[in-house]
Amino acid sequence: MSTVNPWALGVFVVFFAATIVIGSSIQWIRKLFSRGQAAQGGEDWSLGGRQFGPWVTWFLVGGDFYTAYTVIAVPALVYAVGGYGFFALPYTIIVYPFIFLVMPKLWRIAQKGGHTTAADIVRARFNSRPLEIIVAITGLVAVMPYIALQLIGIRTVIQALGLPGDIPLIIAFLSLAAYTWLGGLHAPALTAFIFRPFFRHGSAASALPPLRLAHLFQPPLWLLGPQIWSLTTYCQQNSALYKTAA
Amino acid sequence: MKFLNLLLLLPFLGLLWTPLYDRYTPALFGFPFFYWYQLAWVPVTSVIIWIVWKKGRDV
Repeated sequence: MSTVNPWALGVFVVFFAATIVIGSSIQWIRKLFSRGQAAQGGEDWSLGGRQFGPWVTWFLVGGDFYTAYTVIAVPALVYAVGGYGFFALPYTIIVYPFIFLVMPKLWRIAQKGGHTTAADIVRARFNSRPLEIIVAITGLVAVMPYIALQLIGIRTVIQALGLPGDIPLIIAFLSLAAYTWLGGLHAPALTAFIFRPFFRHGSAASALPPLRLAHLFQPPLWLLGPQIWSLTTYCQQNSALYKTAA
Repeated sequence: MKFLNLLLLLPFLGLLWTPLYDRYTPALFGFPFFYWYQLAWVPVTSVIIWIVWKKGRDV
């Protein structure tokens, strides 16, 4: 086990805390800036009130892709078995043409009908409650291994900082859960905007001596946003389930 | 212009038919064909989607 680098740990904790605090209080912050316009429940929480334009969406999609799966799991697989790990590349490429054709239709249907989740659309289309619940549960179960993978990614990062045991992981998980429940989709959207430049310019900054420290913290920071985002996805699926149960 | 949408099938054909690129040669900057061929599809697919977005659509 490596020894703790106080600087690395300090910067990690500061950024983590900033992310959690800003994300968790985003609904409150938004109320300050647009008085009177209170959040409108589930749609605002899970879809950001359908107000995100291409920019925010682009950041969110970016956060969605650069996850522990991309930066830990797939490279590890390539190291372990070589070219087989390259399945990830064609998969990611052909997903986009598919999305390009299917998602605009889905988006129109969802907007017209005021649907929030895939389960909502299925229910409206087929008028079947069992089918709706099956879709919601399938989404929830399918995302479980992915969440597990993200948690293993967080643990790897925390251990790389030199913190042993499961307590730091539990604290991280609970903070991220609070962040997601309180902030909804606004939280990752905002933090992606604020922190992405740091991650992206981290390597450039490391060329400057005074900022070289930033280089040390790049991997943990880089991983942070996506973890949060996948938790949001998880909770979205969860909310679909709650709604169907209600 | 709907036929332009068929361009979106090209990445599927080019990437899912593995025997097509399961080769070492021709290498590019030392990268075996297998690797650079797949990576090359990233910009190519972006351009295809851009063309379809500009000219195709009306599905």
